[in-house]
Amino acid sequence: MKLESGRISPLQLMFSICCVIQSSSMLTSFFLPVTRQDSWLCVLFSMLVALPLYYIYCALAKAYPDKNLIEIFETVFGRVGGMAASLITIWFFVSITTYNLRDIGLFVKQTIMVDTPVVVIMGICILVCAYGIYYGLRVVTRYAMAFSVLAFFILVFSSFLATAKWDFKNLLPMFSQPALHYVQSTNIALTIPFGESVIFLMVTPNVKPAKKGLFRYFIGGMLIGGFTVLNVLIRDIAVLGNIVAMLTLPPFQTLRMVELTRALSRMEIIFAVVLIILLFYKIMMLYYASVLAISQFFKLKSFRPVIPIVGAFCTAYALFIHSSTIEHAVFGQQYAPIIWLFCEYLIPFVTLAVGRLRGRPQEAGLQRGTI
Amino acid sequence: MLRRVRKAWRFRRHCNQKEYLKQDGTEKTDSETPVSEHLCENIAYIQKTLGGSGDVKIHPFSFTDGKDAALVFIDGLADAKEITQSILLPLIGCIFPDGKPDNMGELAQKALCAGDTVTDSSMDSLLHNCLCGDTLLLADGFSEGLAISTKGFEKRTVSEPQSETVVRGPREGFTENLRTNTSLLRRRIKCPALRLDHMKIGRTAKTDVCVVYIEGVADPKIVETVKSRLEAIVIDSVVDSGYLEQYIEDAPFSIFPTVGYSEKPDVVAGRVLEGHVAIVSDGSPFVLTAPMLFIESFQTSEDYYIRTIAASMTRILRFLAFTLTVFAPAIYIALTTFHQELIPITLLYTIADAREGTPFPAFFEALVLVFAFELMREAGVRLPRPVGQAISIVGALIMGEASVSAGIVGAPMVITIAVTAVAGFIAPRQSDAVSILRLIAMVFATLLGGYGIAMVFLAMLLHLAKLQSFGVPYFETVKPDRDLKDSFIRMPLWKMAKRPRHITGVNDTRREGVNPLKERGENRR
Repeated sequence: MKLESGRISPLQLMFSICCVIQSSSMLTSFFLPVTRQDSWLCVLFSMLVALPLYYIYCALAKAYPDKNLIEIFETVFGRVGGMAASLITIWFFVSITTYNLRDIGLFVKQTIMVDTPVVVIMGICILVCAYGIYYGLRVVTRYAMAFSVLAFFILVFSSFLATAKWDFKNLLPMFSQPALHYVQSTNIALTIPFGESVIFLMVTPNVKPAKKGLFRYFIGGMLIGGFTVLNVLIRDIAVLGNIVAMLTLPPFQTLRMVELTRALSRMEIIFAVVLIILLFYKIMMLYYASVLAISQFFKLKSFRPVIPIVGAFCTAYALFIHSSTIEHAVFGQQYAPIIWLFCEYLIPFVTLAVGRLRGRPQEAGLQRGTI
Repeated sequence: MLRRVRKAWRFRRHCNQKEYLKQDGTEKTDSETPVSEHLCENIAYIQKTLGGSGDVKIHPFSFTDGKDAALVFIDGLADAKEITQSILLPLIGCIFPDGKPDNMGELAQKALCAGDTVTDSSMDSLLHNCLCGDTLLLADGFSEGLAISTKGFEKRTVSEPQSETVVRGPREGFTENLRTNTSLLRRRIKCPALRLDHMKIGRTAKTDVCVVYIEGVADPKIVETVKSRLEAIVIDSVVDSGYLEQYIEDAPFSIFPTVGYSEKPDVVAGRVLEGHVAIVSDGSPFVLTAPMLFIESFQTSEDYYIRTIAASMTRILRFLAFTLTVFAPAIYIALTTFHQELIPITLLYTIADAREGTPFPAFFEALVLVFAFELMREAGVRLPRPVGQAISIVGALIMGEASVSAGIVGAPMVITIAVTAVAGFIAPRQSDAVSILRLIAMVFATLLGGYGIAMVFLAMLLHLAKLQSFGVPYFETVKPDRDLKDSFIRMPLWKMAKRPRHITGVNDTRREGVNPLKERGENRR
């Protein structure tokens, strides 16, 4: 019996990927200090680098159409190797859930609920996520399309509202920084929004078969999401200029400056709402992937008992993971991209390569991998 | 521990049910009393069973050949004039030239002027017919009885429904009589595929229930689900269709209703034509429709009778009103308690000025006003009509004017609650859900401000996504190709060539999409 019986359409998968990427439009502060006005170029580069990455994911999904990532590991690497790869992946899933939970907690605390303890903010979020996850994949991904389309239009619209403050000279000079900076920045942009799509390998067996393959849906999601991030980034650099690298939440500051007479002011609240919704979606998706991965690893009959355990763990972990925002930022800037790269790029690549070398999955493997 | 208690409770309920069945005697099939050849025995049985009730009339008479017979009917249920005209007169005067018929069926064919007759040899089923308004004919020498349809009880005439009024559109409404209701539906859908499947529900009262659908349009799976859920009902009687709703709905503990209803034949006929299944219950002017979609609460029959753009604007207005009525008090609380910086300066001064003397926090103010409003609403419904005006005076003067001038609540809060209350009436089918959601949103706005409201909103969306009505997703209505044409906008009727995707099973095409402008050879302007 499969853990998850609900099936979603490829289009829903595409918008889910898009949502997860879009929600990173807040996290531009990780690479803005590195490449400053050229950061948008790095996002473009990372979109290019993400192409082979998504090719690997889709090749894995195609080679093992009825297996999720944990099952694929077991089939490819055997018992012990599969266990090791699964444990690393589970740790990665739980960690990114935790980091994003911490992000939403800090964001809400910094911007709108200054006096509220961060644990309450994170606790409520994880509770609502748990409610959605309890009812399975169909409920989790139901609003992906609505959320991403809404976010896209609101973010693009807000950029137009900021037209009066645009100064494209702020984008100059181009390519004036050391080459290594571009590599670092591209790496951050690749691992933090785009590479996190590896979680969707947990749900690919539940996607209805697409006529022309999943690759185009992965790319579609990446393009919409990527251009949303790009739009926010270029706007922020054009409006804020040099100070963009100093702020923790550049989009928030940009929109605070928008004022169309007195009728349309305080636009940042709309951005805050959109961001909360997107981050919520991302956390729910990551949380779901973690829960599914853990229940698959322990070969449980249902993933539901795991939900509260993972939720409680993530909340507690998020509270103590870093002592300060600076530490969080440094981790996001310097350590995470390297470690994440290992989980997002290397492990799937090795899995695909070993799988290819070993030949098609055998019947015995199928038997063992299925619960 | 909990599981054991629950198990024990279930077992007890099971036993109780069994005992109940034994007492009732409905489970026993061998207890049926056959009709005796001797009239006096039959009469004695009837008198014993009905216990000599005053409205049971037994009218003995003799045929021309001297054999005794009797008519049994319930006074008030049967039409006395009809009995005299079409039963007694022909029977008393009839002469049989080729010998007296030897069974009741032949007698009915040769002598009676009544069309709808049933011959039966079981006393119990004859009595049941009698209790429905039929007249029984029993005679010496016949081992069967005849139930002649003479139903003629008092019923309300078809009138304009109170709960769903329209400016433009048909004004007739369902009545309490099952047959009248089905005829109203049949009259609108003159389609040979329209099916009316009857069943009796209720062990004691045996209420007639009729499942109406169009074969080939309604999804057979949904029809089957509806029927099987109705058949599984164990209940004494069905006093109103609300009883049925609670037994067959998917989510009894959800705040959102998952079975639709209407009092208007045009609405029900429209839904049946879309592929819904209607459940008509005797004694109730409310006809249930299944499955129900969330969007149905925002569609009224009038939307389809007025022109497209106006209808679409009204739809959008309804969605806005729904959001407003759920979140307006919460947003007000969040703004005044946590996010004062978001209020424009002038408005902030006005609000601060109005709230200067008020002693309570915003949440408490809102709670008091919402509570007062719910009180007035409930009182307004239950009150005898002539006293109704008192409520509006108390509401307007004391609750509104006096409480503000006394400084108990601020005027902006009264305005917020008033808007909330008015907006709440726009989608009546969801008004119960709205009252509860509003309270939840208020509590979370008090605790967590705007973030709390966002979380309540997301949780509501997740809950809606999880709900199903008879296997159909409750909230999945927005699909760009088809269902969007009749959602928060309403496209011209001729554009809607397909039936709703989720509801209809096999035949989802209404007709070919024909643009009348193109047909006439004119350009679209």
